[in-house]
Amino acid sequence: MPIATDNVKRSEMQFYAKLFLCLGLACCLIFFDLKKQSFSSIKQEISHFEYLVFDTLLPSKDWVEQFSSYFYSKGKLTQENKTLRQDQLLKDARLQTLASVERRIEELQELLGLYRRGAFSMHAVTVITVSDSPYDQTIKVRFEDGAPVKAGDYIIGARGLVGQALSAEGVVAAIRLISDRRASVHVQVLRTGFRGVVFGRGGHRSLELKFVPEETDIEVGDILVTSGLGGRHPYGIPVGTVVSIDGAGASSFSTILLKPLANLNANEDFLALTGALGNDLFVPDN
Amino acid sequence: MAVLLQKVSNKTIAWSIAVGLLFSAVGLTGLSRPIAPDVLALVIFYWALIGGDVKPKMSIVFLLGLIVDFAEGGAIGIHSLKYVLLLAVAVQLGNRFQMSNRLQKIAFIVMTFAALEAILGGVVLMFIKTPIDIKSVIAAAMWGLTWPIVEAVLAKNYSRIGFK
Repeated sequence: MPIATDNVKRSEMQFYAKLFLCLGLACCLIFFDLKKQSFSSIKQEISHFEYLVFDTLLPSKDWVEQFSSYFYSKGKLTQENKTLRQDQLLKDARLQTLASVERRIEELQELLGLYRRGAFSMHAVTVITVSDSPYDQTIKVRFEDGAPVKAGDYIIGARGLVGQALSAEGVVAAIRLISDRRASVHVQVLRTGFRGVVFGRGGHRSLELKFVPEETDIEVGDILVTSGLGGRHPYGIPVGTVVSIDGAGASSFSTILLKPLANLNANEDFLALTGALGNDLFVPDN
Repeated sequence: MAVLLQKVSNKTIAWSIAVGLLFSAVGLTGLSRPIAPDVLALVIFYWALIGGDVKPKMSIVFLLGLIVDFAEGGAIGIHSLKYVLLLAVAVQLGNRFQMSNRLQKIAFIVMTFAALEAILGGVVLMFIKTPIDIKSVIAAAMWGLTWPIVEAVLAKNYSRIGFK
C-alpha cells in the first residue's frame, strides 16, 4: 500500500513538473515573441508558405464556388418558377372573370339594342334561381321594383323567346321556359308562313314542332317565330331553328325537332314584355 | 461485476484532433479570428475529460498549440498555454465533471473557456499594453455552449461499445 501511494505521488509530481515546465516555456515564448519579436522571420516564412498553398488551391476553390453557385441559382430559379406559376394561376382566374364580364356586357348590349328597337314596353329581369329538377324547366327572375311584370308576360332574350311568367310576387317572378314539357308556343315558319305549335321536350337544347303533316313544306334550318295568334304574344319573336325532320311512321305527322335560338340556360339577363301586343316587335336578323 | 468501459482508439482521437487543428489553424470563413471558435480547444478538452488513460499528452498538446500559433500568425505560445491549462483543468476536475448533470457540465465548460480567455488576455497584457478583448471572452464562452454538439459528434459510434 505505501508503494502504491508513492507511485501516485510520483506521477502527480511528474504531472505538475511537466505542467510548470510547459507553462514556463509558453510564457517564455510569448515574452520572446511579443517583446523581442524573435519569431518574426519564421512567421513571415510561414505566411509566404500559406499564401503559396492558397494560391495553389485557388482553382479548386473557384470550382467549389461555381458548384455552390450552380446549386444556389438552381434553388433560386425553382423558387421563382413556383412564384410565377402561382401568379399565372391568379391571372388565369382574373382572365376568366374578365371573359365572363365581357360576355355579360355583350349580352346586355344586345338586350339594349332590342329594347331600343322594340315598340313594346320592356323591363329588364335578372335570373336569380334555376330549378334543380330535370323535369321542371323553370327559373326565377328579379325585376325592378314597380315594373308591371305579371303572370302571362313573355320573357325574351337577345336572340329569341325564353319563356313565360307563371306568377309575379313583389320583385320576383317565376318563369316557365319554352323548353319545359308543359310549355307550348304558337309559331309560324318564317320562310313559308306555315303555322303550328311548338312544345318543350324537357331539355334546354331541344323543342318539338308537333302535328305537322308529312307533306308540309319545311326544311332543316327554317326559322320559326311566334305567330301572334291567340293574343298572348306579339308576332315575330324568334323561337328556334329546325334541326331534324323525321318522316311519318305509324302516324301521319312528321317529328320535327328544333333548337331554341335563345340561350335558355346560359344568359343571366332577359327582358319582360309588359305592354300591349302589336305586330312590330321583332324583325329577325336573317 | 460487469463494468461499463469506454473504448476509445488512439486513431479516433488523432483524427478528431487533426480536424480540430485544421479548423483552428485555417479558421472559419466569415468569422474574424477573435470570435471564431477554437475547435481544437474543444476537442482537446473533450478527450482530456472523457478519454481516461488515452487522454492527449501534455507535450503533444503543447506542440499543437505552437502549430496553431504559427498558422494563425498571433502571439507564439498563447495557444500552447491555453491547451496546457485546459489539460490541467481536465485532469484536476475530470472526475467531478463526469458525475455532473448536463446543465452543470455546460456551465462548467462555458465558465472555463471564458476564464481561460480572460487569463490569456491578462498574460498578453503583461507583455504589451493591449486591453483584454471582451468580445473574444464572450465568444469563447458562447462557443462553450456548443459542448453538446461536440459530445454528440465525438462520442458517436465508439463510446460504450462493450461490457467487460
